[in-house]
Amino acid sequence: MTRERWAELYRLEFPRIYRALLAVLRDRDRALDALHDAFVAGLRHPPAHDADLAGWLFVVAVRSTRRFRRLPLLPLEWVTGTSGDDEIEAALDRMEVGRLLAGLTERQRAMVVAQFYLGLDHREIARQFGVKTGTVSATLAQAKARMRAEVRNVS
Amino acid sequence: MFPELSIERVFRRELDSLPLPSEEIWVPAHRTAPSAILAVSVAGAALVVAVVAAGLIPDVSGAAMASTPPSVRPSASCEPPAFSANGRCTTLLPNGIRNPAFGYNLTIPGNWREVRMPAGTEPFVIGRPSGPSLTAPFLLDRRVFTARSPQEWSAAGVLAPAWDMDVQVWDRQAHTAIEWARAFPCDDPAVILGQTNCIQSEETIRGMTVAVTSVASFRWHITSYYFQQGDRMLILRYMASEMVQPPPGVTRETLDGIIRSIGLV
Repeated sequence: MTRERWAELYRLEFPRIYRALLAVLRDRDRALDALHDAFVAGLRHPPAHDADLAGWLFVVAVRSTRRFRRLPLLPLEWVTGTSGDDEIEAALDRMEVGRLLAGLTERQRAMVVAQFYLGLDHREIARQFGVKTGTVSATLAQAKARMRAEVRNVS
Repeated sequence: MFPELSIERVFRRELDSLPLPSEEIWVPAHRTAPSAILAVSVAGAALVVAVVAAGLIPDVSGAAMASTPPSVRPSASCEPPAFSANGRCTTLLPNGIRNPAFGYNLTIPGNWREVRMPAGTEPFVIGRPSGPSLTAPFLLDRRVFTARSPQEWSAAGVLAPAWDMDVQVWDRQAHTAIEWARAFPCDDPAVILGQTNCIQSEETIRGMTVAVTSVASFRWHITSYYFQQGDRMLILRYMASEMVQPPPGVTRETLDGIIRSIGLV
């Protein structure tokens, strides 16, 4: 895959993956940094198939946030002219989905978002995260139980 | 049962409403690689202008130079090998190359990679009984590194392409680095074509005294560093050529930097 092709695919997938990362990380700078790391990783070793791109970008980005937390190179407000992460937090908190996800661990959120937002099945999630399918099923079952409890509490 | 189908719809509806950052901070900048013809044309035109300027306008006064408006240069912060991504200027982290079998480490820029020279391009010198034998089986290992993409890279000759780094490990055959430097390329008739100059010198790199040769003609330079290491001779060599457009961001300083990153283990 050429750099140009990679950049084109990245541009196409960015909105979906960025929003998925916002739901998981609840932090714009972390989401941008993580996606940026995934983009650079793809320049070096792009995924084997275009079809895997969304899951690949998402998981590489999520993993990069676990390795280290990088200081932002440029305050986002300088470019966007908007405030920082409070806006995202507030937006997520206004959402039913945001409230449900808030009670989960970051790993649970990542798998829930991979399934319900990115549309990956258990096997794809397992392959991308490098875990067994049973682990994915167990993690998602725990996450859904927590979300159900949250729904019951609210109602 | 958790209503998964409706949850998927809710996820999409709600998360799709999250605001995106401005495109300028996440759309990768598209940098079109100039075609070879264009590159050659531009290089040729630049050369012609330089020759004409040097030959016909020898007395450019300081005042005239001072009156020339300053050129508008691209931002220094994002020149190759850096590239723009997410509105940020990014440079790939350097890669550590380890070759424990032959006892050396190198650091190459992040956008470089290793390439395999085609069969039949092994370096050799014929008919030099007084020097080391530069034929198989005395070549123990050879690795070539480049900043070019697979589409741009090709090699046909004994030397690695200009602006690439050629790392060779030889059986030293009891010859010193100076003797190796004399054998190739300084006295090699295959390299010494016409008006070339071969300069031998010594440099200290990381505490090691290293023999260095520089063969220069009007349009190209071949620089070689000879590291004597036990029974082996490690040679790092590159060619800089005015006739070959270097990959973006690659200069002689880049190549010298790779050589100076060496660590013998």
